[in-house]
Amino acid sequence: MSANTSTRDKLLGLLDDFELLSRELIENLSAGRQQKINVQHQLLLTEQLVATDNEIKATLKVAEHQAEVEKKVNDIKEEIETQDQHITQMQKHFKEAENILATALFQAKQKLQSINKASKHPVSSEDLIKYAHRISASNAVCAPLTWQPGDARRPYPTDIEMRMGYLGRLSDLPLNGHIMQPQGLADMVRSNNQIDRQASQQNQFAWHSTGDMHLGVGSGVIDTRNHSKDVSEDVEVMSTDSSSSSSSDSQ
Amino acid sequence: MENTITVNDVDTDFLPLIHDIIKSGERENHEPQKSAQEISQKIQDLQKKIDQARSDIHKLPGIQYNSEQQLKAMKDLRQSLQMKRQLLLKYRHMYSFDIFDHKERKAKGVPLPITNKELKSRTGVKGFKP
Repeated sequence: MSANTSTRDKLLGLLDDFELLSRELIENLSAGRQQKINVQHQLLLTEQLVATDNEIKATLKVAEHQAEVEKKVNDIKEEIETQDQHITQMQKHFKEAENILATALFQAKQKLQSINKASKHPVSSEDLIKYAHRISASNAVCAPLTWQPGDARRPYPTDIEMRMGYLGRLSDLPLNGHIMQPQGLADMVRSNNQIDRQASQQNQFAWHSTGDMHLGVGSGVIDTRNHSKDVSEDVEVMSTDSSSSSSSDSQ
Repeated sequence: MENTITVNDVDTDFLPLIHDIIKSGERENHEPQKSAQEISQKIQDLQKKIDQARSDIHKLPGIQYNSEQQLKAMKDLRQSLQMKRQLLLKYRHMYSFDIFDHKERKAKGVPLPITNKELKSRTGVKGFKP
């Protein structure tokens, strides 16, 4: 029991003892004058009183030592608090880093997927350049340098080119019965001329059925042929002066 | 902590007071009335002094536990502080991106970089060959 008693409780207990002993001693002394009480008992009380006083003094010294230790304990607690703050700060930084890394990992995953996709469908550089010329010849923001009045080429998509696009071909779907999905640039380049012809033929049939648009379609067919010729010429011309469109694209 | 006081502030010199009271009692035969007043006054003073000491003891710091318990608590706190310091040191120097040599890494206690296999098992991402 005494091992677990705090120094404060011990001191208070000693003070209580001291108070009781002193009271008893004084009472004995006042009573002793009237009825001669045992002197030895008073002596014993006095000795106990002095012993308790000494014990109080000794316990106070222990308390003094404990106060010094308490100071050290408080210092350690302060230090721990500082370290805790650092740990919290570091935890915050780690969380931020985790977020950044997770984003980077996600982007890297996407990049890897596109790399794998690209390696499964390789496109030759020749096809790519051909297609680039084709785009720059028909969809450039300005006319080619060699353009002259009467040239069929336009800097915007022509009627035929619009019909070749997905929007134009949407109307052909019920007639075709299947969806044409060119895979990759190479296929698109290769299939473009075929689509030209298919589209013009299909349009011919379709527009024949309506009847009144027959003439317009006829001119369209002629246009297509001219256009395909133009395109092949364009490729030749553009490959000789590869300045304007490609350089502007790369920028 | 504004109420804390030191041990030197606690007055526990009760014995001189008791001695005075006994002395006054011995003089009672000569001047009984005066002596009785004196004694009762001194007894009151003694009581006040004991009460004051009691309230001062309540304000003394660090005596809410005994010496052994206090030392044990300090030891535990020191250990905790040491652990936290080590933890911080470990994570501050956990990864150094500029040490490529595995032997040097091992010598300095720097963990090895993650392998492609580990990367794939943790994230599902196929790693690159450097």
